Amino acid sequence: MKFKTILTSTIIFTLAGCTIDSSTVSPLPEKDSQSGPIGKPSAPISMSYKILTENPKAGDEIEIQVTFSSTVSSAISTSMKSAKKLTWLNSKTNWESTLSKSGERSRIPSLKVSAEEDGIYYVHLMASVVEQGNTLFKPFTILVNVGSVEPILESAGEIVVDEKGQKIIIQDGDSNN
Amino acid sequence: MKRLLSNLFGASLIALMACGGGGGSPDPEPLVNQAPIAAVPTNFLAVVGEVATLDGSQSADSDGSISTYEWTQISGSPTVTLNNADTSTATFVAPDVSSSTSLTFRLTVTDNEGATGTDTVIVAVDVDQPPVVVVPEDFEAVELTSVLLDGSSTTDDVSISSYAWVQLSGESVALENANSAVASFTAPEVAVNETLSMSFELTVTDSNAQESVDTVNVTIIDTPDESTLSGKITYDHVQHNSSTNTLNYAGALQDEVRGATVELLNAAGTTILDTTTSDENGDYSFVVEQANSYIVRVKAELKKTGNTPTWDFTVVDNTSGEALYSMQSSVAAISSVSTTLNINAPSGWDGSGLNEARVAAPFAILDSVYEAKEKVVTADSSINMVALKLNWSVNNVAVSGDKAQGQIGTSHFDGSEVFILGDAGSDTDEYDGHVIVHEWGHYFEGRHSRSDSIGGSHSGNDKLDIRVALGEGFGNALSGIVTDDPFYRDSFSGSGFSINIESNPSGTNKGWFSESTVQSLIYDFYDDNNDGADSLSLGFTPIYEVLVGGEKNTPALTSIFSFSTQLKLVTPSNAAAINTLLASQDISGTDDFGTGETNNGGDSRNLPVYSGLTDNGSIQLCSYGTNGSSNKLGNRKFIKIEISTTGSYTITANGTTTGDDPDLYVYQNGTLAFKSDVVGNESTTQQIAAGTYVMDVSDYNNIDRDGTVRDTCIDITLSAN
Repeated sequence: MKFKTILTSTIIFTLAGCTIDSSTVSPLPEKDSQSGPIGKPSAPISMSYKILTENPKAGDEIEIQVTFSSTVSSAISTSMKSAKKLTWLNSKTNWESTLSKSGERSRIPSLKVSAEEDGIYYVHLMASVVEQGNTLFKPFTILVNVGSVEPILESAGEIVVDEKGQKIIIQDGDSNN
Repeated sequence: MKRLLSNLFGASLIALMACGGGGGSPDPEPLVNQAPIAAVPTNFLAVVGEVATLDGSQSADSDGSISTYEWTQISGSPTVTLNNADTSTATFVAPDVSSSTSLTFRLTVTDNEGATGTDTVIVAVDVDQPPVVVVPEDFEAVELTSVLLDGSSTTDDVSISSYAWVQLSGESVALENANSAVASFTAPEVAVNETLSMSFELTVTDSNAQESVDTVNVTIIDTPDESTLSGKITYDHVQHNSSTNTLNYAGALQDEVRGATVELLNAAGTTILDTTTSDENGDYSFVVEQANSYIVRVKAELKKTGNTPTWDFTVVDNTSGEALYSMQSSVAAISSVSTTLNINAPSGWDGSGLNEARVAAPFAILDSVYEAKEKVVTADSSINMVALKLNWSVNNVAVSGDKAQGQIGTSHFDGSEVFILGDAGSDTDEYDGHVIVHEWGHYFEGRHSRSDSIGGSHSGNDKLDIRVALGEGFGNALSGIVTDDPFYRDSFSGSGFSINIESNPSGTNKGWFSESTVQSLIYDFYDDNNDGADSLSLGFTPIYEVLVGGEKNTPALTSIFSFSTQLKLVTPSNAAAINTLLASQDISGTDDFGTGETNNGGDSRNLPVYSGLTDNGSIQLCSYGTNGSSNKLGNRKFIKIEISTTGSYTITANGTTTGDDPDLYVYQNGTLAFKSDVVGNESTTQQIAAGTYVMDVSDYNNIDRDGTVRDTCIDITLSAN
């Protein structure tokens, strides 16, 4: 009986090996022991955001929920900086609020913008806190993809490959001749 | 039993076969003979009187062999006599025609079973054309130089029999290789500011004795006088407003571009004629020819090869395939003994905004690196610096994502390259020299010293993981050391902040976990300003010796403990003064592991800095998120493990609360030896060599940046198997 069971199991395993679809097995999430890039000092503020408007298109009102938090006891000041080629739909002064709560995740009024054309846009915000009499700032950027398109990058100049085989950007200097 | 086994075996076979396919097949049908393929040349031209070849040797039969070949003329007049028409390759003499005439030939091949294949080729017969002579355009040649008369581009429809160069006019010269396609002569001397005119003729004869002729005029000129083309390379160095820390674009100074590659190009900008390096004053110089024109190009790179010290730093655009930034002058005409050509890189500020090309930005970054490099080279003239790319772009924004699209998150060092913010609407760092040197410091730590930092966001008043506190404190201190300015400034559009690196923090936030403490200590080790408990003025060299010496080999994790312990070994006569300075910042640990440290950072769970385990033992440590998550004090705890006997060991880490997710990472001299970081409790069996290790233990809920922190404790056991 035991021998039969073993063989049967083998057959079943073999059959299963022929028919199993490995794509249905979900991989375990990979842990990252690193905390992040080794970057410059900044204010102890973190931001999270969620674009509430699903799959925004040109002309849509795009609503963005933004949350700031900080480990310091002082209030967080926030302001809109810029959003090139986007139209702000809510008042900047109403949005430039000082959060009275500290050390907690505090939600502020949603940002509302719209774009005339499909494209990738950036909403730039600035947050600051006062720590031991010193005001520390930290910029934040929200990426808004309108129309699910690829970005158009600004070029710095003519790109050529010189005779040393080096890919270079040529920009014009101001010369005195 | 046998029947059972047999049945099972048979079932297995059927199952396996059903999985993999296969099975028996019916009797094969008789094969059908495949016809051969006749292969003829592509249509071609034959000149009157030439022997033309009809080559059918590439014909083939896939399932047998070719038995016979037959060439026939099927159209065109006159009918030619085919030689070897019953072989794979036939020939005929192209007949005499008065105008272009097409003759069509068919090849028929028959295989060993009688199947046939055919194909045709058209041969155009034409009268022989004379050669097409190609000589250079009229040109100038400098006196006393070797001059080439190059007729090698000449062509003929059949073949060329001979070349003949002769001089037609001008002062007589001796022609070499006059009967070759390329002849030469030595240009005679001419009087100053005078010229000599000469002309030469090339006669080419083809195989049918047809000739063609062409001429070229050569003007011999006086040797151009040498001249010097020199000048100064500068860039708009935008300064900080010291009270607001913002950038004052209107008040930019023009500072020298030092140590950069400078190239001399022809006026078209297509040929590099010479290369030099701008000196410490931004000056360059080339020897050039008068009556000529040039372009000067400056590359945003510092490069030195060969004898030590050596270095290789480039400023590239990460959104343009890491193309190297450069700027160039307009065309400069040389008309005198010396010509001055100064070139300045503009900031791009047009009075109202950064609306023009920001040519200066890469050179501002380069200049900060130049200063950092000089500081290191002064301490060690035998160093070979690891190459570094500094990536900057006007597209670089403060959001993480695809770096090729500029989504770099923040200015940072990623372990290999530096990335710098540049989007004017987000944050620009190219003129924040302390930021540049801070990131360069991470490169130097990572590539020439050792950094165990786990990265992450950080601020001066944070209580940090000891590795992060050292890494960030060192970066800040180095920025003050290199610039000899203790005020670290970071500007943003319309705002900015500064950190006084010299200022020793006070209160409860000072200590071994504080970036502010570390930066002030390292700066005080270095500077001449002896304030408070600081009586040291060591300069940079001892700090450098720690970085490239003992710090690289510490058995502990890199921290202010390892750094200061190694510094005391490098300069033992100053050990007492170093201890006094450490004590002023509530640091009392006596060795690389912070043994004896009494400053618990406000929480008793933070001490000892390293717990201890040997071959067999257990311990309970707590991971918590009071100071924040991911890279803050308390998220991770450290254990110094001493293994006395090489062998197999099992390590377990079990949480004490439902939902705990302990993880462990074991390092030896900063290198990860092994880890166990599955979801939930850990158990791992490893072959471990005798020696000293450090275990980093944490609850992943306190590490995950998107998670919710928790206070929990973890039971660790280590047992020899």
